[in-house]
Amino acid sequence: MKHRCTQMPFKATQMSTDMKKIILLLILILLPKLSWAAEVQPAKLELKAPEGKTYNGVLTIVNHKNYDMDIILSSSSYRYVFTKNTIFPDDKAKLPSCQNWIKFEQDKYEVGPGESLRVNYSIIVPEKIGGEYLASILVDEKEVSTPEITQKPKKQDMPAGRVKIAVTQRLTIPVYLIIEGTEKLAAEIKDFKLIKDNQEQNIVEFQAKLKNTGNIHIRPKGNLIIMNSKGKIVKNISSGEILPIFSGYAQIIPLWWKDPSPGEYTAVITIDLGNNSLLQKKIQFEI
Amino acid sequence: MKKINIILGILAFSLLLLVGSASATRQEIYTTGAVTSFGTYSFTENINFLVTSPGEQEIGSIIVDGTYNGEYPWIIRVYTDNKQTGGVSEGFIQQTGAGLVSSDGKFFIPIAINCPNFGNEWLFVPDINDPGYQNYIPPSKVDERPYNECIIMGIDPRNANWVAGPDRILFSEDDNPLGDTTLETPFEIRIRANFDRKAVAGDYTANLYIEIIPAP
Repeated sequence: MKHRCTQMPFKATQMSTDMKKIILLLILILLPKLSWAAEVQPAKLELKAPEGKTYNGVLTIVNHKNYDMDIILSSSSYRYVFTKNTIFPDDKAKLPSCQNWIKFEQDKYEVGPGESLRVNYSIIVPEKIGGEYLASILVDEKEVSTPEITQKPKKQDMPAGRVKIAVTQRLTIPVYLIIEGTEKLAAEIKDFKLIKDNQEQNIVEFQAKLKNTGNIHIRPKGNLIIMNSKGKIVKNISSGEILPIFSGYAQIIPLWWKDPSPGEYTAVITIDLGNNSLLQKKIQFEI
Repeated sequence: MKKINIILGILAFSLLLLVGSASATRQEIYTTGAVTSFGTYSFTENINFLVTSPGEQEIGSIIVDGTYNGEYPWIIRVYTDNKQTGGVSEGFIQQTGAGLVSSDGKFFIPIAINCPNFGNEWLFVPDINDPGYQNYIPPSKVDERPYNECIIMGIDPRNANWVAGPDRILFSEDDNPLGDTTLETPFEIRIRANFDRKAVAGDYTANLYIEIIPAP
């Protein structure tokens, strides 16, 4: 999206108040229209609740448009976003769902222009369960007065049929529900290796295979330190935060080192699982 | 002075009219929260088309406008949800299928879409209730598509190789976090259907969903 520059080369002190008003109005007219519609908060729910209890929460929806809007809420399955580095569990089983436990005070609201809406929801947690359950809350947005089929045929061109497609915008809020007191945050670095498949560009790749052996998702961060034969740190590489790795899933975390000099090295990868849980593995290699 | 105020008043009134008429046909979803916002997108809200002759034809288009704010993994996908479609005049459909549904719920006509980033390819729009609906999985090869989901845009997470840029190093200056399946807005989603001679005449309808899946 290209943004239009709105800076104007003029000296404000030299202009009359009326001139300023006119210029301000012209700027307003020329600015790209930024009329937000439904604003939904929070965008992600990471919750903890004990078994056998009901969790109560609130979503806030604001209609920034100048017309009435229908907001329809529903619960659905979790929307996975996998990467090419995701390794699925052997059984490829879907993770437990809490879709049917989510209830809304109302599932349909009409929100007036500029109005803010608080939607109460509850999650009824069954007894004798543990670990983590996933779902999505879907927020569908429709203009209240959706027109019916209105196109009228010309007499000489009578149709064999009419088509109407209603387009609905749907926003997904991921839900992670951890059963309090049963969570187990754990992972293992199953493999850490060096791959020299891009020597023509003088790049070496490190791959750490991290498996979630706990029962809740993890959002790890990786950091690689490379030391020379004298123990001096010559490179520090970050993996950034990895997207959720679910229980039983594994993820390849790639890290690249560009333009290494020939020599003997030690690479140490540290993976931070959060909650002060750190994992480490090292390899020695020669270039 | 009075003249200037009158001119200002007329301009302000014209502005209100302009904004009002434009916004009546657009809707946007904007999210904020603990995670980074990915901006706002707006879509054409409905499409009407008269079938006057048989054959494959374009039945309309959806204009997508919006902004993108930064490095943020998300997907925009398209599907029908015809389980919820009652048809134009009927009540409930036992069977679900992708595409356009006849008013009596008995017949389906598949639809396909094309976006500028598809090239000349038209992708079938699946129905989310179909048992064979396959969620997006990143392919291991460029020409593979191990899913039948219809993704308009997708930004892979930061640890996907292909966002690394020409130097193949992630988190370096030449990274392309927008990846290769994104588009600058505004752009057009064209919709096509084949009303062949076997298609039953009548009214057809569909609930087309454009879903934004933000970072999980």
